[in-house]
Amino acid sequence: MSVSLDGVTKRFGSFVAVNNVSFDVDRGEIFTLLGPSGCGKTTVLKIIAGLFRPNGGRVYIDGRDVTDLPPERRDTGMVFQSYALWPHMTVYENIAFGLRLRRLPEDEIRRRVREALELVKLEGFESRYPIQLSGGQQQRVALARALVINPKVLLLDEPLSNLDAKLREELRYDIRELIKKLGITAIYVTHDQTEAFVLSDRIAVMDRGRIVQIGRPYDIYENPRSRYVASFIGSNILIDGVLKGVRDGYGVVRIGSRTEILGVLNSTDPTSLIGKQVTVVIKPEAIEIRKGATGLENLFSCTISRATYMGGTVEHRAQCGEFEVKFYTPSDSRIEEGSIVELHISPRRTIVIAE
Amino acid sequence: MRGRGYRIQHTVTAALKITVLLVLASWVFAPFVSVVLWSVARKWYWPSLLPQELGLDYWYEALGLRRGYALTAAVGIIDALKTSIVIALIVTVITELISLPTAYALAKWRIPLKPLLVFLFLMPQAFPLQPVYVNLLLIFYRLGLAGAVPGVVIAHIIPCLVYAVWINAATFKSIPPDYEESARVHGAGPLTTFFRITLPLSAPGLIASSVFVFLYSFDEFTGTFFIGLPNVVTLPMLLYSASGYNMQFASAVAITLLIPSIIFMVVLERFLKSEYIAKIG
Amino acid sequence: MDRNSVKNSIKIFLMLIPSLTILLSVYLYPFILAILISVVDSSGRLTLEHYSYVFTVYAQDVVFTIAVCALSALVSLLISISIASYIRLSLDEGFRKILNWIFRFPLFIPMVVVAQMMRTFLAPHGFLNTLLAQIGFIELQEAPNLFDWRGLLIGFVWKQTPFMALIILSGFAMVSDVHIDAARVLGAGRLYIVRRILLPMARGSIAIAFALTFASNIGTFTLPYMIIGGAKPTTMTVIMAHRVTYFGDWSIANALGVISYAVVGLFSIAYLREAVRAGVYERERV
Ligand SMILES: Nc1ncnc2c1ncn2[C@@H]1O[C@H](COP(=O)(O)OP(=O)(O)OP(=O)(O)O)[C@@H](O)[C@H]1O
Ligand SMILES: [Mg+2]
Repeated sequence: MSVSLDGVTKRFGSFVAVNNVSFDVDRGEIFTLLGPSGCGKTTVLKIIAGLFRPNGGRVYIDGRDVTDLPPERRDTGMVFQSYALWPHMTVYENIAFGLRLRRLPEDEIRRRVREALELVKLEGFESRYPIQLSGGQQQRVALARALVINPKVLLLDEPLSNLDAKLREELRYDIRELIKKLGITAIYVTHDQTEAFVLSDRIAVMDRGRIVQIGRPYDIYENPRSRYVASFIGSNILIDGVLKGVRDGYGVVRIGSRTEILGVLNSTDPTSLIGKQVTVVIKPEAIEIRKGATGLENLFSCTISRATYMGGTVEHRAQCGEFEVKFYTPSDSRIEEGSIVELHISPRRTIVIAE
Repeated sequence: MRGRGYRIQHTVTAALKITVLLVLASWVFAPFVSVVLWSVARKWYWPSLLPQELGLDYWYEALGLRRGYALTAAVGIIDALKTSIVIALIVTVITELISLPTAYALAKWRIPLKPLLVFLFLMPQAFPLQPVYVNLLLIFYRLGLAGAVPGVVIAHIIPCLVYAVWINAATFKSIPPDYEESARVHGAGPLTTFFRITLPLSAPGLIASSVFVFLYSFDEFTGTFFIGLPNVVTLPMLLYSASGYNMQFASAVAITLLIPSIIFMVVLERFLKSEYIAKIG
Repeated sequence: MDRNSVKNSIKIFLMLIPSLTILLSVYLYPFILAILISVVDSSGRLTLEHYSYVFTVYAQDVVFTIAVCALSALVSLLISISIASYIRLSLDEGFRKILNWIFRFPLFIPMVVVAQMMRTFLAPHGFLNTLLAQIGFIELQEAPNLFDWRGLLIGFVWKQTPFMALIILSGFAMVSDVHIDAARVLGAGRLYIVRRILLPMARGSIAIAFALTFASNIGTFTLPYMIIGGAKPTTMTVIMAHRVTYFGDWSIANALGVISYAVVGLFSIAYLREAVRAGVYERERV
C-alpha cells in the first residue's frame, strides 16, 4: 500500500472540512477524489502533502507514519489547481527547483530537467518565463516540476480545471498514460465526473468532508449506493417512492397513487425494506422507445414535454403520469413535443436505493 | 501517538519563538523604558541599573505645579503644549480643505499632465525638506513670517498636504463608482452626490488622514526649528532645548509628546492597514 | 475645441489650484532657489566655488552621511526582512499576532522623541551601557560614548525598521500561498523559501522600502542634531543648519542641500527602476 489515510479529520475553527476520511491507495494506482466544490478535496490533498496538519487520524506513505512530518520531508509531488509556477523563474529553474534542493550535481539536474520536459512534450521551452506560456503549457510545466523529483506519490489538484474543454479532453488521456508509464502512485482531485471516469482506477466520492462511496468507475456509475452519489453521478432522474414488494428479483416501488416501477434492489435482506421509503434511480440510457409493445414490465405511456437540441443529441423530457423522465436520442430522431410515446425503462439498469 | 522526535522539535520551535519575541520586545521597548525612568528618576547614579529614588518632581515642575530649582526654561510644558495643539489644529483644517478637491480630482478624473502632477506631489516625500525650509526662512524674513505662527503653519502644511492628498485620493478611489453613479441616475446633482454619498462613505479615510496630519504637525521638528525659533516654541522645540541641560525634564516633555500618538494609535489602528502605508510610500 | 472639454479643463483647474498654489510657491520655489543660490557668488555671477568649498572642507561629512544612512537602511532592511518573513511564514497565529503588534511600536514615536530616548539610552552611563555592564559585557568605567555613527545607526534602525517591515510585509502578502506551498512540497525549508521565493517575488517592494528609508535618513535633521550635533564627522543636515544659524551663510548650506538632492535622486532612480522591472511579474499575480 502506497498511501493510507486512517480516520483523518480537519477542522477550521468549528467547521469540519474533512470528516473521518479513510482510504488505501495501492502502489501505481490512480485514485480520484470526486466531489462538488467545497467538499474538502483540496484539504485532503494538502493533508497528504503535509501542508495541513490533521486534527485527528493518521497518514501513512509507503507504510511509514508521516502525520507529524513537515511537507519538505515527505517526498510528494503536487500539481496545484492554479499551477503555482514561480513567475520570476524560467521553465528550467521552475523544474530544477526540487532537484537543487536535493543538492544534485549540475549535469544531473540538466539531464533530469531535459527528460522531464521530454515527458511532457515541452522540449525547447527551458528559457521561457511562465507568463510566456499558454495555460496548457503551464499545466505541463507544473506536472514536470512535480514529476522530476521522482516523488513517492503524485498529488494532482484539479490540474485541468483552468483549461478549455477541448484541451481538457485531450490532456486527460495524456496524463493517465504518463502516470501509468512511470508507474507512479497518484491521487487526483476533480469535480468533473467524466474526467474521473476516464482517468481513474478507483474513485472516492466526497460529500461535505466525508467519503460516501469508493469503487471502480464502473461500480460508482452503475451502482450508486446512496441518493447523494446517484444524484451527483451521471444525469440520473431520482424518484421517491415506497417499496411494495419483491418480484422476479426486482424491487417493486410504488410512486404516487397508482404507478409501479421495478428496479434492482441492492440489499441483503430486501423483504425487511418493504413498506419503507426508497429512491428509484433512472438512467437516461436505460430508457428505450418501444412502439406497440405489450406485456413488458416498466412500460409507460408518456407525453414528450420538451425536446431540446444539444448538438449531436436531443434531450427529451417526458411526463409519464405520476413521474417525469429524460432521455437522449441522436439529433435525427427527435420526437416532437406533445407526441405520446411508449417508454421502456429497463429494470436491470434501474436501481432502488433505501436510505 | 506523536513521536519523541516530534516533541523535541516542538520544544525547540517554541523556544525559538519565545527568544525571537523577547529579543524584539527588548529592542523595541528598552529605549522607551529608559526615557520613562529618566522622567521619574530623582536620584540615579551609575552603576545602578535602576534609579535609586523615584519621584514626580520633574513632572510637577514641567507641568508648572511647583517652582523648579533646576528649571530655567522660559516656557513650560503647558504653554508649549498649547502652542503645539493650536498649530496642529490649524494645519489639519487647512490641509484637509486644500487637499480634498485635489485628491478627488486625482482619484476620479482623467487629468492632463498627470505624471507631472504626481511627481510634484511625490517630491516633498522623496527629497529632503530641510533645504526648502532653509530658503523658506530667507523668504519669510522679508515677509515678516519668520518666527511667527503663520510661518510655522505654512512650513507644516507642505509635507502634510502631500500625505493628505495621497491618503484621501486612495480613499476616494476605493469608493466604487456605482454608488455615485446610481445617485446621479436618481437625479442628484454632482455637489449633492459628493456631500451625501461620497463624503460619508469616505469618512473613515478622511479621519485617518486628519489624524495623520495632526500627529505630523504635532511632532514636526525641522520646519519649526528653522522658521519658528526662537519665538514659536512647540513641544518638540522645548524638548530640544531642554535636552541640552536637563535630562529629566526633557524626558518628561518627550513622554508628553507621545500622549497624542498613543491616543490616536488606538484610533488609527483600525485605519492603518499596510496597504495604506504602501500607497503613501 | 468643444465647449464641454473647455468647461472640463476649467473644472479640473479649479480643483487643483489651491494645492498647486501652495506647493509651487512655498515648496517648488524654495526648492529651485536652493539650486540657484548654490551656483551664484556674492556679486551674482555663476560659480562652483561653494561646491568646491564643500568638497574641500566637508568631504568627510558628506561621505559619512551617505555611509551611515546607507548602512542604517541596510541594517533596517535585514531586520525587517526577518520580521516580515517570520510573520509571513509562521503557522502559529498567536505568535504572528504578538510579533505583528510589537514590531510596529516605533512607528508611532516621533523622531524628536526617538532622539531623546536615544540620548538617555545610549549615554555613556545610560541604560544600554549599564545593562551591558550588569551582564558583564563592558566595564562601566570605560563605557563607550555612542553619540557618533553608532548612535545614529541605532536611532535610524530603531525608528525606520517598522515602516520598512510594513512595506515588505505588504509585498510578501502579494505572494500567494500556493507559490509558497509549491516550494514546501518540493522540499524547501523556511530560509530557502525566503531566499528563492519571497525575496525575488517581492523585490519591487523591497527596492521601494530601501529607497524610501535611505532618502528619509539622508533628509533627517533631528536625530543627528541631537545625537551628534557639531562633533566631527557629522551629517550634511547638521552642517546645513550650522551654516545658516551661526554664519548666516545660505550659499554653502544650499550647496549641501543640492548635494543631498542629487544623492537621493540618483539613488531613487536606480531603485525605482528595479521596482518597475519587478512589476513585470505583477501581471501574473492578479
Ligand atoms: N485555510 C482555510 N481556512 C478556513 N477554511 C478553509 C481553509 N481551507 C479550506 N477551507 C474550507 O474548507 C472547505 C473545503 O475546502 P477545499 O478547498 O478542500 O474544497 P474543495 O473540495 O477543494 O473545493 P474546490 O473544488 O472549490 O476547490 C471549504 O468550505 C473551505 O471554505
Ligand atoms: Mg480545491
